[in-house]
Amino acid sequence: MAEEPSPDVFRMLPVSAAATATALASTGHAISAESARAFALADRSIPFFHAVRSARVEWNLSLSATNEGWRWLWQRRRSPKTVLEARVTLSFQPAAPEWHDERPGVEAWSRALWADLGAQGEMVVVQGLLRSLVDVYTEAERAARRAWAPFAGHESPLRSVLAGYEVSALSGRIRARLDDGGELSTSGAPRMLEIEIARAVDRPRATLAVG
Amino acid sequence: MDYKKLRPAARALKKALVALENALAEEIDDDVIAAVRALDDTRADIAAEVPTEGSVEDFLTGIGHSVIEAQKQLDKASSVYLDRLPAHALPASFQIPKVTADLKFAVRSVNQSKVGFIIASRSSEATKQLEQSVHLEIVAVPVPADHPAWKRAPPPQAPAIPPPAAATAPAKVRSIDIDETSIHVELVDADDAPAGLEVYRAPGAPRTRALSATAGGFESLDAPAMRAAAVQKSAPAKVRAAAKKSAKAAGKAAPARARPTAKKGAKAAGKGAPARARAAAKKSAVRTVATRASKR
Repeated sequence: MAEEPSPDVFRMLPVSAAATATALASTGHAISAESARAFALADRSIPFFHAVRSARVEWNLSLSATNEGWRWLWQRRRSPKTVLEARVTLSFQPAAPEWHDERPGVEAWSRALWADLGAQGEMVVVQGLLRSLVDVYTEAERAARRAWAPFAGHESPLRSVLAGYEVSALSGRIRARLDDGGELSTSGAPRMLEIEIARAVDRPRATLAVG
Repeated sequence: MDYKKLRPAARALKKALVALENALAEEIDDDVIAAVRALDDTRADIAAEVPTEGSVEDFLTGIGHSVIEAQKQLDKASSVYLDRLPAHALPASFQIPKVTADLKFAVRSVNQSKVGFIIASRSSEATKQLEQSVHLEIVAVPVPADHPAWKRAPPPQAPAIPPPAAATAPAKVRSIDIDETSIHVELVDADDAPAGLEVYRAPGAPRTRALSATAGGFESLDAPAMRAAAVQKSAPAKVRAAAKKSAKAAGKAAPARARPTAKKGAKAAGKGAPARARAAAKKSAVRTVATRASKR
């Protein structure tokens, strides 16, 4: 039975993004809270706190495959071909104190984002990556907010300078061999695709370039 | 988990337990203490040998605690530094401004299938590789200016400027670091002094005087420097005034007839000089000018 290359490598990205956002929120709060306690004990002339300024998660994916037909004993075995290389970068930055309840919902943002990207992407693989990026964005945002929520009621000096973390940028770049139908193939011509999602004032902005 | 690594630790644990059991049976205190120590050592050995499994959260939390612990040590060092601060040094505390951390890991999965006969085969292989890296940046940030923490520890301020020294005290003239700028200082009457200029009244001076100092269009109101310059300049004036006064008194004390006579005599002394002497004096002046010109 032949093993067909499939772009399901993106499926774990939203889960990983959510886990990272959760870890980042708890870590950021732990650092700042511990720093605040240390400051209260120490007699410093200038009050300083330690805080996580930024965090970046980068995924590098590659999918190599050989899908050869019947091969005689004296024929050389073909080496695996790289059919997909992808890099997805997710960046977090501290959210402003007025972060709570003043932004539109993440769901609405992701729908608008998908509408933009979906209209631009036609190929199956491209749509898979786009869908994954939107899921990464949604899950990371949701996880960051969910992880920071328990600390929202705490009285801490940190709250005046930091109110959580939010996704500041998300970008994806993919290089894939595609057949005529846009599916991953070991024989198609390599094509390059770049997607960048950046934070805007009211909603994310997406750009797409296919080459 | 690698259980091979646990075997020596398990053997050590068994040995320690046996020793403890024997000690308890014989009720010898020293042996009990020794056995407990052996147990502690064994526990430490086990903790060192058992591989720990960590998650991304453990990694991030570990970084955070490391930063805080390092900052605590720095705080202690800062406290010691402040206690032993030399008189000329500024008080300072040391902070960790920035820490970056990277976590990288990779997952590789290979799916392979093969159907083979003696002389022919058919196979397929798919390899998925995922490399993930987490980059973290921790910085030290000051709290906002309106935060209550500032009230407990006010921000450092500039050192207070001491009041100007009294006019009677020995004045210290501060050096003015202005390159290629001419500074002109003159005494003017108080009535003519420009607005904003400090008036200096010398003790016992008959008239009020003010000092005007200008440097390349910049008017200085440096009171100590001006007072110092005024004292230096007013002293010769007093001397001159006293000398003029005494000269007048001396002139008045002489007989009325003698005064015009003396005046005339002085003029006549100049005119009455011999012609040769005047010519020699003129020649000497010309020679002096020529010497200066040759030196140039």
